[in-house]
Amino acid sequence: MPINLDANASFDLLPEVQDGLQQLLDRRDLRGLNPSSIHTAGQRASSLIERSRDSIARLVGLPKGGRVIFTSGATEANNLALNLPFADSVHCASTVAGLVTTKVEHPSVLEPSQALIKRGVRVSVVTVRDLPEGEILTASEVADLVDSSTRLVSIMAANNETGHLLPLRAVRDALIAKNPNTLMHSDAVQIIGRVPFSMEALNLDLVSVSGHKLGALSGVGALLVGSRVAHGAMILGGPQERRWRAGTENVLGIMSLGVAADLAYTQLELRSVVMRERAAQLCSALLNIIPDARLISNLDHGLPNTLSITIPGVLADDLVIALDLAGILCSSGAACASGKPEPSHVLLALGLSERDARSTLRFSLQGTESPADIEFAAQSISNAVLHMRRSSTRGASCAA
Amino acid sequence: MQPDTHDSKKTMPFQGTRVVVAMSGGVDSSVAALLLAQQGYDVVGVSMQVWDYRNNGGCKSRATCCAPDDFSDARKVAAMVGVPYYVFDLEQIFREQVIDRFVSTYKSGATPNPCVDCNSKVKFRELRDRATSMGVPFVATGHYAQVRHDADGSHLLRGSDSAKDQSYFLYGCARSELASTIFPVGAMTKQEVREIARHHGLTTADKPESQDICFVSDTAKDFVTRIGGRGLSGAVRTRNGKILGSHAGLHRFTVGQRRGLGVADSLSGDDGPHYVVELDPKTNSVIVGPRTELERTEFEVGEINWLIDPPQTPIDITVQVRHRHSGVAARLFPNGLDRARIEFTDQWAVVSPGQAAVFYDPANIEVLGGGRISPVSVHGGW
Repeated sequence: MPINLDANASFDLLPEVQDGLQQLLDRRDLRGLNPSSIHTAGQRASSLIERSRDSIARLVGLPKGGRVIFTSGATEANNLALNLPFADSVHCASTVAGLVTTKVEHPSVLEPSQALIKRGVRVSVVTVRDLPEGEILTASEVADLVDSSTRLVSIMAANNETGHLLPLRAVRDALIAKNPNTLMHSDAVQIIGRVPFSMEALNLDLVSVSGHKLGALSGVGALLVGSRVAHGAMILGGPQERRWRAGTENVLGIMSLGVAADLAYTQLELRSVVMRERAAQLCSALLNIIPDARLISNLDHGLPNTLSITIPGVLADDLVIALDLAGILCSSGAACASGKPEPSHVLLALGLSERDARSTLRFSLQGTESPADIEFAAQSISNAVLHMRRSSTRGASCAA
Repeated sequence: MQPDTHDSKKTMPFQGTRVVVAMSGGVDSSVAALLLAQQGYDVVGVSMQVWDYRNNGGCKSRATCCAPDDFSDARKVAAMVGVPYYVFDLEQIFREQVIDRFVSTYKSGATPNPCVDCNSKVKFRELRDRATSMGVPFVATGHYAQVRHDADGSHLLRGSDSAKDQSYFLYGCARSELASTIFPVGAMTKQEVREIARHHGLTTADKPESQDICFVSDTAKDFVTRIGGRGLSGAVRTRNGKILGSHAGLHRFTVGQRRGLGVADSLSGDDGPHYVVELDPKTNSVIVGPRTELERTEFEVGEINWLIDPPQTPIDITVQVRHRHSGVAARLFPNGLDRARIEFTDQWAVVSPGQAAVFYDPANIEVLGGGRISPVSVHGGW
């Protein structure tokens, strides 16, 4: 069994989730799974997704009056979050509407932001840099870009590639002083289930969550919406999800998300502690064997499970393949669906050279690893690195 | 590394030996991967992304290899065979080593052979380097060529199917690496390969052949114009200076070419139709003449890569001067380690500067080496 040190790309499906799904699939009396149907089969499906709604609300700390809207994943949740505040500003030249976001967001925030520019929205992007105490931007830098026309500030809670945490509470406080009407969204995909998080305590209006980053199935996620957000939708059709998102619900996916959310809620503290211990173990082992490796992450002030590390002289893409063959899953920057690896925009934004960005690997833990797993992984990684460095000094060998 | 628990495989001689297989998404490399897996090799499938078709003229032509659709075919085959599969991004090195040279060679009046550059400078080299860096000792491709091992070492041979033989493109591979290079379909015919693919239900079984220049979706000459810019126009003239017309750039012509010269056929005159006999970058002219002016008894070859101990004295060879050329008898006079003069001994062939000349043994089976045909020297044997 390979060791999955790529939890930020996808958690292993949790055994409890697998069991829950299996039990449901094994039922011979399973009929239709349309939660909108009036009959008992429909009601059963409906109760499955409502239970999950409660589980997600509890895990994320949904404030009273808020709603959980199930989506096809965090990408859809982010798209919806970015579009809801600008539903009326299409092609209306007299309306000035602004969005403030950051340079290190996930593409599912950056791309919709670009699309909003074409619709006349003024988009301001906060740059980042390496600051003391694991910070990459300050609340005042965000607030400086906010004015009376700013409708939404969208800032991720934790960066998927480096594990840096962003100062949501300070931004929220600065925002209240600058423009209390501005809504605040956070892509919380990577922080949920790793670090305690409360939408209510942070006074957020919109929060995006992903299923497979928690150990549920992929293809399911949720947008949590606070009471200040005006109703709207991108996908139109039936009355599902109180008309925030039409379409028959992904019942099995939503069910798996509920089970994973309950586990994350009850195991959060333990998981967090184990993640931090194992990540520290892996980090010190790697820095010990590869003395010129440079740590990008900040384990004391960042996500407890994410280790972004630059290994000079090694192509990260090649190392990922070599490690896969050795039974260790990890990634170089973010997983790239297109098959065309560009250097990570996050690492470049943090000031790394293109060359260093291409030599940077991400190990992200699940919190279920044993110390022996980590020892094996560290050994495999250093073997692969040393071998790779030896063979590259041998030089190109094919003549002509 | 996980120990394999299938006891039935224990009898296989190659059990657990790792090999990287270059998978283009075509039927040959698909079957190559399948055969190696069946022999017990621990196969790692790899596709090499060398050219971004979307941003460089599209992929309208079905003839292209390495297009995105081909990668998904390769991925499907790897999954069917049950082996891991990865894509190597080689766009930058491909542009430097193949495209730039393709364009500049054409523009200098010679005729490039991008497949030779691609195989030796990009695909084999990168495949080997990356395999080595990942601790994988063997490299395999779906080329129709063979490697024979004996007491003298390893020898590169033509593929059994003479209609499909691709050894011409492989002369640039390092001799020292032949021992760890495998061509699983080299001893088969194309028909046999297709039958194996069909028998195992591989999705690529009936895929059409790719053409020689995979990155060109229009014509080579249009490609050069598009990527390298328009060439300088100049004169079309005979060797004794008679101007017959004009041309739109040297890169649009190849030595030996007869059609499309832009000069009236009536000019063929008494000495028969005109051929391109030389491209002169100094005066930017296309020199045409009768077929007899193409006849050369000898030519020079540079940048030679040897797959045998470099000869010190003249040797008899069979020389192949183009992909679709069966080879003619010749004598090779070495001139240092990487240059030689080739004299035809029996019949002559049209040679185009820039193309590869590949040396086979007199029996026309084993590749001894090869190089690039040098521009015509003034005192050449016309």
